[in-house]
Amino acid sequence: MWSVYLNTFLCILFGFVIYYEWGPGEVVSHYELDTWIAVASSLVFLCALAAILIPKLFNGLQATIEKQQNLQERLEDTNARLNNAQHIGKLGYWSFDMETQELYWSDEVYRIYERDPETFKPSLEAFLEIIKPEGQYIWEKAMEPVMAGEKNLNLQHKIDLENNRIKWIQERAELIRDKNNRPVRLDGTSQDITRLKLLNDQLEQKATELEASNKELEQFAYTASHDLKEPLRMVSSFLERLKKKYDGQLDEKGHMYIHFAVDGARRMTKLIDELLAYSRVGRVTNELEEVDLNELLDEIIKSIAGDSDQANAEIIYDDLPVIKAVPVSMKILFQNLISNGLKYQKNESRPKIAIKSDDLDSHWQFTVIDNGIGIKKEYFEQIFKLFSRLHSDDEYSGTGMGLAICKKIVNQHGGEIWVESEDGNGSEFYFTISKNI
Amino acid sequence: MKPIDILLVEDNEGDIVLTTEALEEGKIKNTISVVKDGWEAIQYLEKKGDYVGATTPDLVLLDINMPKMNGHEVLKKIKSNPDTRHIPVIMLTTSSSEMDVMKSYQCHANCYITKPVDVNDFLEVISTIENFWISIVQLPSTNKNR
Repeated sequence: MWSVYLNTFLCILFGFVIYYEWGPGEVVSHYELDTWIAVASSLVFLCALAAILIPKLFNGLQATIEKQQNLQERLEDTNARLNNAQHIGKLGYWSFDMETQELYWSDEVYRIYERDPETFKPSLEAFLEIIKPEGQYIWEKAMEPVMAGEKNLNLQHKIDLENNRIKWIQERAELIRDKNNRPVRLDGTSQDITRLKLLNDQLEQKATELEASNKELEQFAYTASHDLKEPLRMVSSFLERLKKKYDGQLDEKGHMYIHFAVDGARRMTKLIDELLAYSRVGRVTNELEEVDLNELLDEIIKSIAGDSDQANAEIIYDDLPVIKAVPVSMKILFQNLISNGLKYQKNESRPKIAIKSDDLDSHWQFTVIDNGIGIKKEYFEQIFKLFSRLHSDDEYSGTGMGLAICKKIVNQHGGEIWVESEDGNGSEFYFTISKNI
Repeated sequence: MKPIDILLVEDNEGDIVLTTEALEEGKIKNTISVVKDGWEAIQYLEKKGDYVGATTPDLVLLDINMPKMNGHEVLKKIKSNPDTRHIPVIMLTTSSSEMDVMKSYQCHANCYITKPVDVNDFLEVISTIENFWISIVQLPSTNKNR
């Protein structure tokens, strides 16, 4: 390539040398023709050179232009995609320059705030004006910890729009600092959370309603039990008085009638008491404590040992864990299962109960094993239902509420309860208690 | 010992019979007046309406769940009136609710007793009340005609 340039340069030089040496002004010599030839050849050469170089230059230029165009297109495409993403996510981008106090809004922010990009100029003042009346206050309050570098901005506020509409918007932002740790910019997003907020409000309202209704139900159960017991107390009280005061005037049948009436009232009272206990199993989260099950079982067994009927029973348990639970509920749960194991026994046998625990990562699993009369498979689910009984009162007395109470307690502790048994060959009651209720 | 005047404020007929029978069977001579709701109790204590000639009782047995005016309100009225606040008030109720117990003592009830469910226990409680509040404690001697 360079040889071409050099050649051209030399040709032109020669051309000029000949021209000035023997050019016009001098007697036209035989060299004149040569001069013109030199000039012409130089021109031809220059033309040729131009013909070679210009397309090359042109090509280079074109490539650069194309490259730039490509970049531009890709940039626009990326921007469009980003804009689209913002639109789909209803998540606009904004940034606030700390130095110039200029606020930039992406298209989506304009859409969220329902402002026209042609006429509206975003600024901090304009923004505070939109979120008034309490705007300035909440903004400054929210910005305090952000500026202190304690946390990122996370602010929910509402704006009033035309036609009495309101919109809830969540602003999140992060403070950007320069090398010297000076805050330079706030990069943020605005998100329309009106629907979410509405759903959340509805959910909260439902939760409040549910709580109220639960409370009402509890109150109802309590009042009902209380008011139901009152007339029963009258029935049994006056029957007792009758028995005492008119003892001599009553024959055997009279005494029998009174016995059945008193017994009925007594059973009814027990039912109501247990119904009351069932309704009281609730509101677990408020009363959670660390419960040492070894201590609890020790206490239960001592109280059972005091009962002469159960004096010969054998109750053993592994080293049990300390769990997070409602202490009263745990006592009722273990007490019910153990006393069931002791109660449902063949006449002559010595009751044996074993209690085991297993760590299942998210739950504790407990097993209460007895050597009692067992349960037929078809009753495995039924026994946990309210008022469900498998035996008549003279076989084994009870209200049919014990296991229902156990189930409610276990469920409220985030667990399940089930039984495995063979008729006549003892039962194994399993239940789990969640480690994070 | 001079006879003791007891005011029983109770709406349950059965309990009225049981309580009066138990008190009558007791060793101490007493007169029992019965009113069946809170409003009437206040009329009685303030000697208004039908009770113009009533005597100030030495002891009040007060139920809580009653029509018109409940036991808590009656208690408040008794204890805020200088003419009646010296009278010992015994809350005698079926309720064992912590809230009722607390509320009663906060309003200066002299004691709170939950009616036992078993009739024999109930009679026992009445005779204990009688024994303690009539035989053991010293009550202020009131001018009955005040």
